[in-house]
Amino acid sequence: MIVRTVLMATARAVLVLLVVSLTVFVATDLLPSDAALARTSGRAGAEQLAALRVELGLDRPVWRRYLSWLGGLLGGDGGVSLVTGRPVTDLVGRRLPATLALTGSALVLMVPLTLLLAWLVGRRPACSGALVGVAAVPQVVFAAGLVTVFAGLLRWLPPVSLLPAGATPLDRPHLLVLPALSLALPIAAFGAGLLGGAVSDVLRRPHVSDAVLRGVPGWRVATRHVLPFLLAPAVRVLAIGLGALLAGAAVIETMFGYAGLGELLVSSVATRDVPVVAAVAMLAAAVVVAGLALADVVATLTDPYRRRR
Amino acid sequence: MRWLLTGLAFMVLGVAVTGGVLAPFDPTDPLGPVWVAPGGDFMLGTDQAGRDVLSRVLAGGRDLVLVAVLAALVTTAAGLAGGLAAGWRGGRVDRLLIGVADLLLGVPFLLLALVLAVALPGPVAVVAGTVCGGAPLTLRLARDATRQVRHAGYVEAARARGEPSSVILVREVLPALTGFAVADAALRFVIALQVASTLALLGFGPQPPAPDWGLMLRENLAGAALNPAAVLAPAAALTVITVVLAVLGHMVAVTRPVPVAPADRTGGLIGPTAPAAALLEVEGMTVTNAAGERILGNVTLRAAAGEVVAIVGTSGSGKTTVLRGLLDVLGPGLTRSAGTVRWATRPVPPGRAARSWRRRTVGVLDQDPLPAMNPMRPAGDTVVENAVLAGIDRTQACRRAVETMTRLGLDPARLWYRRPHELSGGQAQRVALARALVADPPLLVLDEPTSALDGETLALVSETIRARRGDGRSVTLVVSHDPRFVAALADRVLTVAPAGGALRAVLPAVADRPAVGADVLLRARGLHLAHRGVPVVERVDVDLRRGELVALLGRSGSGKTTLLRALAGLHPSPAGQLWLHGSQLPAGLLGRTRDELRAVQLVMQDTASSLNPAHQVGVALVRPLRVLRGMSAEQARARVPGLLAAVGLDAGLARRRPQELSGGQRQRVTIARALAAGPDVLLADEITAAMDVGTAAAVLDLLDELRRDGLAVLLVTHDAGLAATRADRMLTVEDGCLVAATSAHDSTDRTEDNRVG
Repeated sequence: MIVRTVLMATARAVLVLLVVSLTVFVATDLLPSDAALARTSGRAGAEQLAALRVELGLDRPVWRRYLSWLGGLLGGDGGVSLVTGRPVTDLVGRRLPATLALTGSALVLMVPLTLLLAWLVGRRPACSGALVGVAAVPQVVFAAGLVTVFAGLLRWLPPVSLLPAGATPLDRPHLLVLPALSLALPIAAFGAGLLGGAVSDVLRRPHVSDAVLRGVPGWRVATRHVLPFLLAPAVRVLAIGLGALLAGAAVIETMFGYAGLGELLVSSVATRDVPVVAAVAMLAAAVVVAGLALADVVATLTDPYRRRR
Repeated sequence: MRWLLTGLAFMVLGVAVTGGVLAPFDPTDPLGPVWVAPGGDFMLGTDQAGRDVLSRVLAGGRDLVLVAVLAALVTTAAGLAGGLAAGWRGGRVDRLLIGVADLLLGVPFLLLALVLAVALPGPVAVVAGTVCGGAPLTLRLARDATRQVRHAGYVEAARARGEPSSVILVREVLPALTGFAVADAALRFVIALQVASTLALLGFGPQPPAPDWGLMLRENLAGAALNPAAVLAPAAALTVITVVLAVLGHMVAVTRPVPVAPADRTGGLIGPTAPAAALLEVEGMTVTNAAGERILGNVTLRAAAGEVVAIVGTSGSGKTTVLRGLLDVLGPGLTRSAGTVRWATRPVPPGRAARSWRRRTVGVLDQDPLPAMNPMRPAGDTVVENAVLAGIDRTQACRRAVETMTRLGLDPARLWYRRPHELSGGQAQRVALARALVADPPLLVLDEPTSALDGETLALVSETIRARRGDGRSVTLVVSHDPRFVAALADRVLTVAPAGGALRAVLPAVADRPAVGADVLLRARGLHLAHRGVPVVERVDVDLRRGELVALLGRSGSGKTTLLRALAGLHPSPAGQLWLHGSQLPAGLLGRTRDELRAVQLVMQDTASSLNPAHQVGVALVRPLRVLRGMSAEQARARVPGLLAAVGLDAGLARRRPQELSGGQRQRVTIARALAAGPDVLLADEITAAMDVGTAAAVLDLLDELRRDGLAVLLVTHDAGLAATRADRMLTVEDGCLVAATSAHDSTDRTEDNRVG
């Protein structure tokens, strides 16, 4: 039963990833100006451009390019950066640890905070207005506010998180504080908003008030009659939160000058460096899809109405 | 508070869009030294290029806000359209749209916007990102709202009037969704503004030197120590707009709690005097609602050991509230504002003490047991849990559970591991009863056992009550609106005191029955009824003659409601034929003429959704008059007081909304709505179930009057006694067939034999 569920979830995840890869490729392929122009900044003549295009493989038909790109990705080869000429895998590999450190620390903050806030809001729906207000503040405003207060006015922490070349973030953990906070807090508020609704729904179900009527003590109502129904929504919201975390990392890393994958993505978008954009987007998509597939598995396994053997 | 926020929202948006004209300086002009602190010429100082921060803040919102408004409108429209389609059509369309929505929700919309920004201009990327991130949420909410409405009684009533889907969507569905759409647009605007400001900060929005809040955040972050206002001002602007709109949207979207219907009566309990030495004592209990109004006043109740005390009263009088008040499980908004509860002379204060008292001493059988059981826990576990809670050790508890279940006719070996939805209705009821009895509780509370329980379970309940009577240690409280049931079992019967006027007398004399005519008004032959593909009743033949009242009995789930709906056209039978006044009647609603629709009226049982909460009672009564009898608006409105008076309701109720009425009042309004059409045949589904004897008698008297004018009534009821005394004929649905009992006069001996459902 479990095996079957996992296999089906994996198959669905692979299908979704294929669709995403197609979307990413098509989106990055619709360039008004192509990479050859970008590389030469409009200084080259027509023949040089044509030659460059052939060299970069931009003259092949779309589907051919898509398949060769996809094949390359699966083999661990993301192509070559159109701007710097370096292998994409190289670029990604060097920046990955920094992003892992940042998203890891943000995740450690976000998960318990989301669950706690969701529980609070579910128990007291009156507080949900305050939570919605907090979640509404854009992440960039949060980050800017934190920097201005803690770095600008109080000067406790540095305003930018520039890592010296070759150093790992773990050498200088204080550089991670502001970025991790500005990453985790807004997303925790957003996730708690999503999950809080599910919590208050479950709390209002008839079997819960029946348990209270029968005198079941509070902790037992929570563990036996409420939490089992929250497992699936919680995993799903955390998976969505993880996706938001990855997206937010792009913004936060840029704001703090933190040399991670997010900053790489943003600068590649600005310079139309398609292979890098595509590779980073696919990496993020793979993580998100895996998280959602896990959420699906948990949801199926905890569904009380599914048929049993 | 709402109006204040709405005004504030409009003002804030207005300033953001038009603020540029108020700017003291040119936002793009470097006028002074870089990063000057606030003061002097520049109220908020200068930014990283020496430009006036105030001017840039005033001018920097326009593009952002306009793009965000566009994105929000597109998103809400898309989500609403999708949600309406998914909710209204259901089936494959629904599954497809929900699948797409769930997929989109998982996509990090900011990443999507970023990737799209490679190829597309900024605003398009913002709209795409917002639609991806926001439309799935809107779709789900709109779909849930539409689904609820689609199956609502008032939508079915509109369909039964022959109104086409488009009219129903506009008149009945959309009023429910307007508030939702506005609130939703505000919340999507917030998402859109977040995406837009983020893209602007990353350099994909307006390009420098144009003023833009997102861009300002990025440019001035480096100089935050020198001029914090250059960062804080645009940050504050963004914060104010997003928070105001988010809170506004949230406040409008959050469903208002249904106002507690004021009780019809607010007296105490009257009845025979209580014994001096009482095990359970309730004194001076008063229950107030959130508005401070008294729902129940000064209730005193005493019960000695071994006594069975019954509480009866009119519908809505607060019998259940008395129980819930003394157990300290009042619903949201209600509080026990005064009074004490004592058990064995020791007071039971509300809160944790009451909860642990309930655990140890009280067993409860609630009105509808099936939803009350945890769907994830198997039956055996549920029964054992109660025993363990009461303090019995685990092995003993298992033994007791098996004993109790066997005693109640359940087979523990087969049912122990089954979850509630894997049990049949009757089995689930008996598991709930086992759960209440397993710990042999000193106080047993039964709330309306005759309403939802089937015959066998009801017999077991009666047996249990009889066993407890006079045993010297237990108290049993029974709440019911069926005085015959309690009269046989209770030692004392208490009534919730009416505010004024005595209760109407019990059932009237049988003598004055209207004569039954010879001509058949409605005839059905060979109907074949199935519910969700499962055949329920077959080869149904029914005749309804002018002036007769035919009672239809049977177990719950046996197909009585389906039969009524088939006759009414809402659930057409695939086989067989119908005749009305001798000519063929189409099986479904679509083929019927307006006169045929008028002639056959159905009154449904579920009153929670049989009236549109957005419409006043008067509006609900006017519709059939206008649609089915062709009256003008004034003529129809003039008839409303008369219709209400005929069912015993005050004419002033016409201005109230359904949420402000009690269950019994709502049922009477639905009856009035059916009678407004002036039908020849009335199909009534358990219309007296929620009423006490007095009100039920009044309604049946009204039907008797109309029967004298030729109305034929097919009444589904579980009350065999009512059927026996008031009906001309009785039909029972048994094992998939319709069986005719002999005429009502002869069936008094057979009252026990007739299955009650």
